[in-house]
Amino acid sequence: MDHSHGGDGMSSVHTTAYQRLVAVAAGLKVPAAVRRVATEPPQDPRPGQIWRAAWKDVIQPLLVTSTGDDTLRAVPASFERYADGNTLLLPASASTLEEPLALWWGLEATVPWCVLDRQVSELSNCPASLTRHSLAGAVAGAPRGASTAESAAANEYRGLLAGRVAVLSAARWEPEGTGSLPQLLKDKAITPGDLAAELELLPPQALAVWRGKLPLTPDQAATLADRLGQRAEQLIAANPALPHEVVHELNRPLRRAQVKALAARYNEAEHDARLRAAYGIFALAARQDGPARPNWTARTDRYFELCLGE
Amino acid sequence: MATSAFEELSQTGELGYASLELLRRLVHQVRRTYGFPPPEGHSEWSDPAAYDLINAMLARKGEGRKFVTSCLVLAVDDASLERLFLTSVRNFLIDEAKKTPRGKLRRRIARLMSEDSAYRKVAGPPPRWTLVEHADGAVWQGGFDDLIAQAVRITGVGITRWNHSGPTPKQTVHALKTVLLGVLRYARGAVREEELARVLEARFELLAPARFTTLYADEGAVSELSDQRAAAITAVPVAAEGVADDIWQRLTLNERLLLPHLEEDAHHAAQLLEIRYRHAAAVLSNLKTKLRAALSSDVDQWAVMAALLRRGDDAQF
Repeated sequence: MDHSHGGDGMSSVHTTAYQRLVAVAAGLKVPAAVRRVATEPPQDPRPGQIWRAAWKDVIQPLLVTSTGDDTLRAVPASFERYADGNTLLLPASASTLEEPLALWWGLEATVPWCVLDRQVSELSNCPASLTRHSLAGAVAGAPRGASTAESAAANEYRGLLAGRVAVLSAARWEPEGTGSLPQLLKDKAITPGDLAAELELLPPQALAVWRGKLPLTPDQAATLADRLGQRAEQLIAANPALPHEVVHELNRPLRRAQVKALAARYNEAEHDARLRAAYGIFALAARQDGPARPNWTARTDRYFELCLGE
Repeated sequence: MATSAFEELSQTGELGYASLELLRRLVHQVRRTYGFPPPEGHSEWSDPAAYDLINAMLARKGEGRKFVTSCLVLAVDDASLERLFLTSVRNFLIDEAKKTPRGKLRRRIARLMSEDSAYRKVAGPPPRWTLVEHADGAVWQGGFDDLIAQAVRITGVGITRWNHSGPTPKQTVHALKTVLLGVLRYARGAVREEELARVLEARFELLAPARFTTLYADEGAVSELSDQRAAAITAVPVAAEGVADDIWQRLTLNERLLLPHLEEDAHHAAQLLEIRYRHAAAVLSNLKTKLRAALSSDVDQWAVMAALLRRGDDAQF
């Protein structure tokens, strides 16, 4: 790659301006700890970590304050110096970002794991129980946002953050799964044999779908949609509900990267890829003779190995 | 495949060739769209001017590192990184433009209006300005936002150069007076000098909006190709008009006249312009050199040429 920008007869002024810029840019590096954590395979979230949440059209850094099975409590964080009366202003030394951060404790909310995209940082000194009070005590020189810092722009920004947090809190991707598919198929006089022929399934699998023991994958739903005069989404909604363990597996940050890779592989939206994976894992499990308590993590690993060639 | 700016930043944690190239392209896009003046030390926009501007943006104390870190934290793909870059460039250009204090702008427009017989000053305090055609004693009673809305409706003018001292450039004078005239006609009465200055600031995007970055992630569609296509579709029309405008401003009258005749030889040019052959050859050669330099590879050259030719048709020679 030609970095000189000078080999095509351009003036020396051009080269000089570019070289000056390159010299300045070379001195600006993201802290090593941030880069490391942002490129390593994602782990499950823990309190004190700062994550980038991304869902629909929202991107928002969050400080994790506590975690549950599928949800976590989190406080939105921003680089901007706006604040309200509940904001804790962290000095640069308080996190591996090495930049001052505003933590909007008044907007703390419960969000599902599935919104987590990447861990980007963590607190340098995280108290055992993470509250605004305990963190303010643990971090020297972390002033609370004074009410005088409030302004029209700060209020507008707070409103924007509140809107983002609302989107993240309401995030949900798994269909309800009414389980009404068998009835729907019977109403349309579809036999297991029809299913086997239409979807190129082996008889036992066709029977399992027909009895509501095995879900239709999005591709199968699309194939059947015309025949049944229904939309593919309606058929997916009529599937048996996804096992909670499958939903949990696909909510984990580790799976987010795999789902993105799957979306790229099939040239589809992340949401569609996640559904593809969910029903694929469910169907894969239903076709396997397994122990009484299936190992969903292993099955999910296996699914992505098969689909992504990992 | 070349590394994208997003991949580069994610992998290296710094701004490399792809990021600087993207920033250069965005500086040109923003200054064309909003008509920002070139940075200090440059009389017109060029790649070195863009590099110097990015340099100034990154070299501010503590801001460069924060910019790089926040981009890594907040970008999920190339499209979101480009939006972050775009917002930062735009905010920086606004900050730079604001260094021309409003007081100076007030003094400039006061002088312009005092030298033009179409305007009349209504002695203050506070000083107000009206048009001679308006009745004595008529004062604008409406809202400030209405005046801004009216100013925004006046299109076709832009400020491409904003000097900090000395006489105001001709094109800037034209832009300021076009908007002043339009706003005062709409007001049908005297408007405070301070308000006129604020309206001009808003019209030419010199007012800083709330300084945060609104980000929109993709809905998860990760097809790079479709992203690029979408970007190209939305970016090109504005860019082409902007580029054409830049080029047009730099052409002499003879060069403008020759635009539709680029394929013809110097003899034809000499006849057309009614000048000597050698002079015509020089004009033609200069024109081609200017076009080659201006039509960089990241713009749709056909769209720019089409826009230029339209300008030629519209111009009254």
